[in-house]
Amino acid sequence: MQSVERKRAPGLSRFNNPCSELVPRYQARVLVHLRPSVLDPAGEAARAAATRLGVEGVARLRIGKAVELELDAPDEAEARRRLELLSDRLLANPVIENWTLKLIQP
Amino acid sequence: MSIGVVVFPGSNCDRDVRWATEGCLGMPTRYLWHEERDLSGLDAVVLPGGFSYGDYLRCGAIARFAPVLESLLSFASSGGRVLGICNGFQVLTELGLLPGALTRNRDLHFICEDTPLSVVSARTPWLASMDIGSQFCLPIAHGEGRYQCSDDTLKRLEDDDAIALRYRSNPNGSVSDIAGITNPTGTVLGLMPHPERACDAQTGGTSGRAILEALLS
Repeated sequence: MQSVERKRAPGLSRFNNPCSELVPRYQARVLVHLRPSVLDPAGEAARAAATRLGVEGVARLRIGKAVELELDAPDEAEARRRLELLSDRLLANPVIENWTLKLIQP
Repeated sequence: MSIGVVVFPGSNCDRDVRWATEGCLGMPTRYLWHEERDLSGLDAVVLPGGFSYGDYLRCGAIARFAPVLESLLSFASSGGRVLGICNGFQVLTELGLLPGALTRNRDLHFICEDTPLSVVSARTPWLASMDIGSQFCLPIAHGEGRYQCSDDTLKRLEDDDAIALRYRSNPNGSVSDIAGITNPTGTVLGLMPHPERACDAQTGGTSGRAILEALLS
C-alpha cells in the first residue's frame, strides 16, 4: 500500500505543491499574533523586563511570530490563495491568533 | 477489544499510557506509528502527552497533519473512542475534533504537580463511574495548558454539557477553570491532566484508572 503520495513530505502532503514549470518566485512574510482578547504572558514578562532595563513608558508589548516564505506560483492571485490557506490552516490558529500577509512581487 | 496509542516523533507519554492500560489494567494495547493509517480492530485510540514534532509552530500544529490522524477522523466520526491527554488534547483541538485551543500558562511556568479536579459532567462513559461534583487529584505537567475559547464556544460547551472536568484551583489561567472537555456525543475526551500517571498504587495512586478503563467500557 506504499502509494506515491506517501513518499512525499510525510504528514504535510496537502501542502506539497511541486511546480515542474518555471514560475515566478514570490517572497512573503506572514505575521502571526495573539488575538487582542488573549492574554500574552510572555509579552507581559518582557514588558516587566523593559522596566528593569530602565526603559520607561512601554505601555504595551505583545509577542508574535514572523514567518518568511518563498513560494513558486504561476501568478500573484494563486500565490496569495496558497499563502492565505497556509496562514489560516497551519501558520496561525484562528481560535487564538490573527495573521497578516505581506506579499512581495518577484 | 483493544486500544491504539499513537506515537508521534516527540511523544513521551506513549509508554506510560501503554504501561497503564496494559500493565496496570490488563487491556490489550498496541502502538500506532504516526504514519500508519490502519486502525482496524481498534475500539479506542489514545493521543498521548509529550512534545509532538518538538512543539514547533504551536503545540499539536504539525501533528495534526500526520497520516494516522486522517484515519482518526473517520474513526471518531463512526463513534470510536478517542482520548487526548495533554499534548494529545492540544492535537485534538488543532485537528478540530474538540473546540478551543491551548496556549501558554498564565504565569509562564511549566507546572508539574498533583492538582485537584472536580467532575462537571458524568454524562459520558469517561466519568460515568463518578458523581457530578466529586473531587479527585491527577498530576498535571504542562507549559501550555491554558484553555482558550470564545464566549460563544464556552456557551456551546455548557449547553452541550461538554465540560468534563474543572480545576478546583485553576493553575494555568484556563477559561472557566476547564481541565477537560468532550465532544457533544461524548466519545472524544481531551484533558490536560495525566490519568495514566495515576494508575498504580505504588507510583501516584489509582485515581486515573476510571478514565482509562472507560476506553473499553
